[in-house]
Amino acid sequence: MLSLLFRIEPDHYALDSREIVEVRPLCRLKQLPGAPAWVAGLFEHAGAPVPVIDLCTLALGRPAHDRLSTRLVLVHYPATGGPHLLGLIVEKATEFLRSVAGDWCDSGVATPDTPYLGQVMHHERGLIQQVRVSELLPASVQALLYGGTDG
Amino acid sequence: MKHWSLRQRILGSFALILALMTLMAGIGHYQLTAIDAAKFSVQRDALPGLYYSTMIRSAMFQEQMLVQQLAEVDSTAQERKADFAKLQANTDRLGDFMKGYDSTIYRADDRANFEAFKVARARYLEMRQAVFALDPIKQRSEIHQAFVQRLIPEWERNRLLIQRFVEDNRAFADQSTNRIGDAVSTAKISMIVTLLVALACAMLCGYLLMRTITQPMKALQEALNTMRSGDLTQRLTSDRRDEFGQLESGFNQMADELTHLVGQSQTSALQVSASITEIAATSKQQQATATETASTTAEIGATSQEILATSQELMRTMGEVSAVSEQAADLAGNGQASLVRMENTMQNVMEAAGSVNAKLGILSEKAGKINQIVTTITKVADQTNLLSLNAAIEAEKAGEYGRGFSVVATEIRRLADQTAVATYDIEMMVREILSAVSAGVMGMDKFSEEVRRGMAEVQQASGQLSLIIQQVQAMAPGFQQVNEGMQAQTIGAEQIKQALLQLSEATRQTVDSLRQSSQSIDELNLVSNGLRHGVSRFKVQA
Repeated sequence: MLSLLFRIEPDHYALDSREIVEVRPLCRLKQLPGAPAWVAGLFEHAGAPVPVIDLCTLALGRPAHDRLSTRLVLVHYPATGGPHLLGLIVEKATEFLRSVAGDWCDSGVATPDTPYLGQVMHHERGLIQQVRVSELLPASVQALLYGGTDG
Repeated sequence: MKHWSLRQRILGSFALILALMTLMAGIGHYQLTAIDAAKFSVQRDALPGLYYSTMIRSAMFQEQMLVQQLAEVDSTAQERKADFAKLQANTDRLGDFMKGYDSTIYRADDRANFEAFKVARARYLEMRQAVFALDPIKQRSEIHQAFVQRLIPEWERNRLLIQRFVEDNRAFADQSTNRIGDAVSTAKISMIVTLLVALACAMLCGYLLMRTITQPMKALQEALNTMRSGDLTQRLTSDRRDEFGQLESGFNQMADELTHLVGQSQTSALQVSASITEIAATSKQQQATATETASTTAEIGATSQEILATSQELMRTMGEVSAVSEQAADLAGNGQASLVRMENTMQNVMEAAGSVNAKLGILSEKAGKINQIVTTITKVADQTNLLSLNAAIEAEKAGEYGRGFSVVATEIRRLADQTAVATYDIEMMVREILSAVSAGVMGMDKFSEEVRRGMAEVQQASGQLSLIIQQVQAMAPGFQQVNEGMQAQTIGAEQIKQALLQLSEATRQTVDSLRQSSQSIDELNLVSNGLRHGVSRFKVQA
C-alpha cells in the first residue's frame, strides 16, 4: 500500500495513493464567494472545473504557506451521483510511505468534528494518521460543490 | 375775570366805554329826530295853517266890507264896477289862501273841518251870487233885506268856522312848541345821565386796571429788593395767568439760574482757594527740588571729571590690546593652513571608502546571481520530486507491472532530494556571503559618514578660524574708532562740565523765579479770599 505523506504543522498525515489522480504544483484558483473559508476555490482540469479545499484552513484555520513543497493533490471524491474530482491543498507533500494493512490501527479517539481522520500508524518520524477523502466534505458543502452537476 | 390777560383787560375797558358812548350818541340821535319831527310839524302844519287861516279871516272881513259897500253904499254903476273888481280880486286872493291852507293840512280833523268850511263858503258864495243877481237900483230894499237876513248870518257862520281854524292852529302850534321843549329837556337829562354813567364806568375800569398793574408790580419790586439784599431764596407765587404770570415765571427762572450760578461760584471760590493752597505747597516743594538739583549738578560735575580721567587711561590700555590682537590673528592664520591640509587627506580617505563600497556592490550582485541559479535548481528538483510522486502513483496503479518503474521513481525522488539538499547548502552559503557583504557595506557607510562628519568639523573649524582672523583684523579699525570715541568722550566730558555750569546758573534763576511766583501765589490767595467773601454774601438755601 502506497501513501502520499504530508504535514499539518509538525504532524504527518497520509493519503492513500489509490484515491490520488495526480499531484500538481499550486496554481491560481478561482475564488468561491459564499463558500466556507476552507474551500480554496476552483481550477480547470481536463476541460472541467474542479473544486479545491485547503486542508490547512480546515484543520488549523490558517491558509497553507505558498511554498514549492505545498502542492495540489487531485483525488477521486465518491459524491452522491457518481465520483467527482476534488483538489486538496496540502503542505510538504514530497514523500511516499510504503506500508501494509497490518501496520495501521484505530486511533481509539472519537472525533465527531473531524470525521475524515482515520487509522494511525507508528513510524520513525512519529505517528502518521490517515485522511479519508470520502469523509472530508460535510453534506452541506458537498451539496454546494457538487449539487449543481447532479441534475 | 381773574385769568384775563392785561391786554384783554385794557381792550375790554375801552370797549365798554366806547359802547357807552355809542349808546349815548344813539339816544341823542333819537331825541334829536323827535325834535326834528316836532319842528317839521310846526314849520309845515301849525305856522302856515295859522298864517293862512288868519289871512282867510282878514280876507273874509274885507270881503264882507266890500259886499256891504256894494249892497248898501254904492250908488253909481261906476262905483259898483270898481267894487266888484275889488271883490273879485279879494275872492281870488281868498281862493289862493284856501288853496295854500289846503296844502298845509296833515291831520284828519283839520281836513274834515276844512271840508265843512268849504261847503259853508260855497253856500255863502251862492247866496252872495243870488243877492248880486238882483237889480241894485230897483230892488234895493230886497238886497238889503237879503244881505241882513241871510248873507250876514251865513258869513257869521263862516267867520266862526275860520275863527275855530285860527284857534285850532294856534293851539296846535303851541302844542308842537311845547313838545319841542319837552324833547329838548328830555335829551338834556338823558345826555347828562349817560355821561355820568360813562364817566363812572371809565373811572371804575381805570381803577381796576391800575390795581391789576400796580399790585404785581409792588410784589415784583419787593422781590427784587429782597434779591438785591443778597437773599436768592425768594420766589413769586401769585398764580396769575396773564403777562405778569409770565413775568413772574421768568423772574423765578432767572432767580433759579442766579441761585445756581451763585452756588457754583461759591463752590468754585472754595475750590480756587484750595487749589491756590495746593499750588503754594507745590511751589515750595519745587523750590526745595531746585535747590536739590543745584547740589546734584555739582556732584555730576565731579563725576564727569572722574570720567575724563578714566577715559584717558582706557585709551592707553586700548593701544596695548591692539598689539596683542594682531599677534592672535597671525597664529590663527597658521592654524587655518594646517586644517586645509587635513581636509584634503580626509577627502582622499572618502574616495577610497567609495571604491570599497562599489566593489562590495559588485560582490552583492554576483551573490544575487548565484541565488537565482540556486532557485532554478530548486525548481528543477521540485519538478523532479513531483514527477517521481506521480510516477510512483501510476506505478502503484499498474500493480506488478509497475514495480520496476516504481523503483526508478524512488531513485529519481532520492536524486531530487539530494539535489535539494545540495542546493540548500549553496543557498545557505550565498546567504552568508550576502549578509557579510551587507555588513561590510554598512560598515563602510558608517566609516564614510564618520569621515564626512570629520571633514565637516574641520571645515567648520577652518571657517571659525577664518572668522576669528577676520574679526581680529576688523578689530584694528574698531580700536581706532574706540580711540577716536575716547577722544570725543574727553571733549564731551569737558562740554558736560560747561553745560553743568550753565545748568547751575539756570537752577539759581529757577529758585529766584519760584520765590517770585510764591509771592504771586500769596497775592492770589488774598484775591481768592476776597472772592469767597463776596460770593458768600448771597444766601442760596432757605
